[in-house]
Amino acid sequence: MHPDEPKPTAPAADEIALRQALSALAVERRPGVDLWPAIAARLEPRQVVTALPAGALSPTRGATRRPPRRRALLQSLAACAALLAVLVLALPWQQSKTSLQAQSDPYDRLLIGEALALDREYAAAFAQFEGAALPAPLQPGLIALEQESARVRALLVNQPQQTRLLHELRELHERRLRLLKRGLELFA
Amino acid sequence: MFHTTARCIGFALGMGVLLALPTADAQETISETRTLGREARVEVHNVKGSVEIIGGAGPELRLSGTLGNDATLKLSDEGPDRLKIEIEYPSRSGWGWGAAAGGDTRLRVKLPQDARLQVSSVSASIDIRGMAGSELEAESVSGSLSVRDSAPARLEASTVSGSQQIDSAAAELTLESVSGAIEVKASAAQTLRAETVSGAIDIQLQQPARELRLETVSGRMSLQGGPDATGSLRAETLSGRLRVVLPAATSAKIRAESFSGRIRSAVGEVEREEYGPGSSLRADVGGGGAEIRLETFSGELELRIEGR
Repeated sequence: MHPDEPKPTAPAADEIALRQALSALAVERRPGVDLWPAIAARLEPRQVVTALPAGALSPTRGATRRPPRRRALLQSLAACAALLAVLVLALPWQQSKTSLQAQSDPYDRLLIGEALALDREYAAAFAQFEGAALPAPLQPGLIALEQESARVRALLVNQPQQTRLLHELRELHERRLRLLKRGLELFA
Repeated sequence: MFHTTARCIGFALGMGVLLALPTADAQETISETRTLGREARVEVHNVKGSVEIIGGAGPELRLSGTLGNDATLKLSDEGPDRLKIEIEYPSRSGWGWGAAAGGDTRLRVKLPQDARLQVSSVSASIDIRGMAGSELEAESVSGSLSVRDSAPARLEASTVSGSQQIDSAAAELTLESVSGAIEVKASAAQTLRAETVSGAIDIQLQQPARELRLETVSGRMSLQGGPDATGSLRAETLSGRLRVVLPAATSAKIRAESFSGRIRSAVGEVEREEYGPGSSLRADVGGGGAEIRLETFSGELELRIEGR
């Protein structure tokens, strides 16, 4: 964890499981801000150094001076390596920071909390149907509902400010529950 | 060589006949007749096989067909105003799947067209035509359902995975399925509600309706037709594709929105949200009497008007 990140409060076990499941979902994300200015700022000092007079960079020990073309090549390689390092280090950090910033917003956290509570509530309801023999013709519908729920849930993690997602998730859960109940009625 | 081959074929045919004999359905023919009162209530329940309903003139009900192996016919006479026809199998558990060993039962029911009809099946197909009573209810789990040349005042159809093909002049239609497709040609619909989870919905209206409600989760939707001058249309899907072709004479306020799906429209201008993936459309056509609201979550939305 990055030192700047806020320490989360101790979540419940099922909340941890849900968060792990959510983070396991493949979700494309873009960095929230343009990273280039920060990268450029880090590269500038090196550019200043390369702009210094040749004598200022003379080795203190008796090493031979490198020819200008080779030096330019080495400097370019160093700049590329530095750029790559900055990108590798900064990008994931920036992403996690953006995500955490979104979740640290009280309103967003409230909505995510509500989504988690909703999932817990319906998970308990769905658990009652575990092991129940349900008619095979129901399966395509149940699978479609599960897939849509997973999709909406994954979106909700990244866009907690979209209250509509919470509404859609609730609707999907409710519909799935109705279908499960209907399945049992058909068997009765 | 020829004799050997002929003997082999003969032996194979003989064995085939012998093997087939024990499994052949001992089918029993059904033939029953009843006289019904006006607007009598008739219920028909089958499990597997088929149900054919034919409405006609006169007060007589004629039941014919063949009973599948192990199946029994139960007729509940409750006077001329109520008749229940039920097919039962010994093992009824599992909503009829337990009767897998039994044979298919094929029912043919000719009855007065003004009867109030209720038909249900598990996997049996249901074919209804010529009915014009005040109500018609049909329900199946996995069997297909077809309603043709019928004009009941109210039509309710429900399937789980079975498809629905409705060609009707019913005034009020309520159609529901889970994964089965719903295909409707409605010539006199005033109110039409259709809902599925993953099944597709295709609707063709021959005249504008007062109220249209369409909803799917992931099934695609297609509507050709629209609301009347003071009516309303609401179509909603989560990830399904929604396509609406309105009549040229449509007069409506149109509001469409999608969370992340693409909107294509022949009228109005699609606006994209400054932040986020959403897009919306507002358009008034022909003075704007009716209300049209189209909504998708991630599905593509296409709106067209005939002649444009």
